[in-house]
Amino acid sequence: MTRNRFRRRWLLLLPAILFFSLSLFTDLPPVQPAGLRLVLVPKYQPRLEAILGREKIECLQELQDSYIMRLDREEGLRLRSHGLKFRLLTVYDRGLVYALARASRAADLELIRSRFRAIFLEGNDYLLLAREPAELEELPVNIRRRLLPASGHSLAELTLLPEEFIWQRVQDQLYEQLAGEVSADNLRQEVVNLQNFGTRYAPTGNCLQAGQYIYDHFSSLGLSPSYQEFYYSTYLCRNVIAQVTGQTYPEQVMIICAHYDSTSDQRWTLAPGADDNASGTAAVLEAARIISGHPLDFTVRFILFSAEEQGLIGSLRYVQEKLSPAENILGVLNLDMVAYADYLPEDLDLIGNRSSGWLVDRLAALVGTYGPVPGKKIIDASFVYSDHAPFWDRGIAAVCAIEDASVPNPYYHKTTDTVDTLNFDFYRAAARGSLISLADLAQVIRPGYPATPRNFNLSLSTQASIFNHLKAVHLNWDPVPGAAGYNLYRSPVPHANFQKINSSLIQDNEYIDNLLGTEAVFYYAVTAVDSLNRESNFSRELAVNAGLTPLNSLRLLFWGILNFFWN
Amino acid sequence: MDGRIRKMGLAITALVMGLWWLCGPVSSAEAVEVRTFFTVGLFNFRQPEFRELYGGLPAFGVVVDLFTRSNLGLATGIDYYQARGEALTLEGEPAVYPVKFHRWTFPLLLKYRLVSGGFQLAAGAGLALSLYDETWSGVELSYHGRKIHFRAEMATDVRLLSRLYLRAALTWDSIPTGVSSLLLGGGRVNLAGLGLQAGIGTRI
Ligand SMILES: [Zn+2]
Repeated sequence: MTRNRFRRRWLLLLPAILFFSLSLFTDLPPVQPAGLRLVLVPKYQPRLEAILGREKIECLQELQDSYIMRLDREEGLRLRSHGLKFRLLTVYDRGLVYALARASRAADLELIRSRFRAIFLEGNDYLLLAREPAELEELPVNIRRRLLPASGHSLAELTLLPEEFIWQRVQDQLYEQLAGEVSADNLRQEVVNLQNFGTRYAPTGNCLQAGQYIYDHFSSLGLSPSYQEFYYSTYLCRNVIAQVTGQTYPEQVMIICAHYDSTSDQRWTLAPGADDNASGTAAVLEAARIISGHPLDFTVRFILFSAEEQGLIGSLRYVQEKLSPAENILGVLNLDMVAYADYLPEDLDLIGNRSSGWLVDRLAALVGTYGPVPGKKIIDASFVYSDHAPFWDRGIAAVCAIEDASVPNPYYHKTTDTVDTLNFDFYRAAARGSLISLADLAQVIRPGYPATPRNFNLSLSTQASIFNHLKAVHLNWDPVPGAAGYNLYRSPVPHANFQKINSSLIQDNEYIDNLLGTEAVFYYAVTAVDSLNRESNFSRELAVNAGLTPLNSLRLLFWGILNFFWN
Repeated sequence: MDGRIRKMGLAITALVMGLWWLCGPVSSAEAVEVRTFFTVGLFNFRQPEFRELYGGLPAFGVVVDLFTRSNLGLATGIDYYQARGEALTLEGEPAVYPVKFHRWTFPLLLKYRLVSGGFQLAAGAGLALSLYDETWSGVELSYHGRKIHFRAEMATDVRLLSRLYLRAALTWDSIPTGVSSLLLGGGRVNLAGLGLQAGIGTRI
């Protein structure tokens, strides 16, 4: 009897033990903890950016008509609950390499598909899956590609930007004089010198030597260049960086860049890359030669990237490691293939994304005037196949200058891309336009003019009554010796469309602007004017958010508590 | 007082007169007692931020009370409140901007009274039309609004001479304007508050 009861007890215990041991196993951490996936979210859905921003969904890549986002299951469900549409691309695997590639022809697509898993994105763009970056070398050399960034950012709410931008145009002899210093002979010689390395395929020693050559060139100009070293697979690669530091606002930085590496179907031995991209490289070197002799308000940084042909690795590493919160990158001008003209007159394609529109407009006008070469404005966020794209990823205004975005140079990525195929009239015009763009954006200091006001700062104050409130912007700057007064400019958009807000010269070196309007963000800049009515360059630009953001100060909290007791 | 306000005030007064006439056939003229007062006093916002801005508001009023024999009555009149202050600095550098606030109120209340000798205690509630505006000096900022809202009142009268009375009155207004204010962190403005008024008046 007792024995029977004992056995029954064991029978009851058995399933409990089984359950317990099973639960031990199932408690082990899952192999793929987050269960992340890549999705394609079409743009132009109501309140899309606001929702994506609020839900802090990670955007890995913006394209022209969509975003590539990385999210988990819960985030996906939340987006669906907001009524957003998106398409699942693939489950995200951190062990894989993802790349974007542009297959403009059906044959290209077939080649891609034969070797890679390719997922359609939009237009001619595909997402490729590879086991390691070097596997992408198996892509035909004429196919543009970039690595998908390994990390992204959440979207900020979109501000409505105008289609056209207006800014103060400088018309004086200095720009003509500067442009006149651009020498076609110099450009030709630099392209020849770069071509003479035989190949500048990033994994080769020749490419490192070409980097050294560029480094020495900067040194000979009296600049202090530096390398940014990184590895592509097991190969050492180097970006070369030099700068002319601004005299008024050194933290404001204008970047001009190009990749100096090259490729071809015989890339280990022969890849002259005259147009792609000795042309861009030599134009940057020529700009450095000329501009280093002139004082500037803002800093100009010259960057020659390596391993662009491997999927923008050099520029990706730059934005990952070298961007500093103490700096403000005004804009990036990326020159990639600027010396080949399939017919004349050739125009220079200037490709920007939406938030780079102001920069495209400004560059188009400047290259048109000082090239002179017609600048063609193209807004295409999907054109992510050169070194401007990693800057776009970080929300920095960047423009790719390229001879033809759609019709490639027939020698593109071939051993025949040599100096004798280039058009030096077109090339010189592109180089002149780039130089003057740089001089204009970094603000070359004109002799005889009043100095640019330094230390331009602002603070915001808010006064309120029951029904009304006043946001006042307190602006101040250092007095400029010899100035008869100052002009203050304000714009509802960044970098352009500035309107003078003072009717007569401001005598003091401070000003209070009472904002009674409804717009949320304003941008300011100040200039100095002398007795001959000559006006200085703009100061740095400052932004102020005058929106009706509810304040949550301690004082109001205190009153809130009082109010509670009163009630 | 602009024309619009006057028109509305007159409309209310006309309404009261109309009601008085309607009551006429029911109760004879002698059955109605009319008391008129001139009052002064102080109004206090319930919202502490508004009190910080304006303090107590001096208030001036004209009151007409009509009571029947059954001690039920109607009250109407005009109240005027005004105050000056300085806009509060919520962030950044302080700056001085004088601000002015005005309110006109035209109440129409139903009242009941208890009378004992020369002493009367009355309580009532009803609606009031308020017109209010706020104006800044130094910048072009102003606001005008109006609202029909709830008012409650308690008043006590003491007879001094045969027809002369002394009054003390307490009024409560709730004026939800529906307008949001930065002063309340974006919350909605209610101009609610308590008024204490004293006055002298006569029985007609
Ligand atoms: Zn290239």
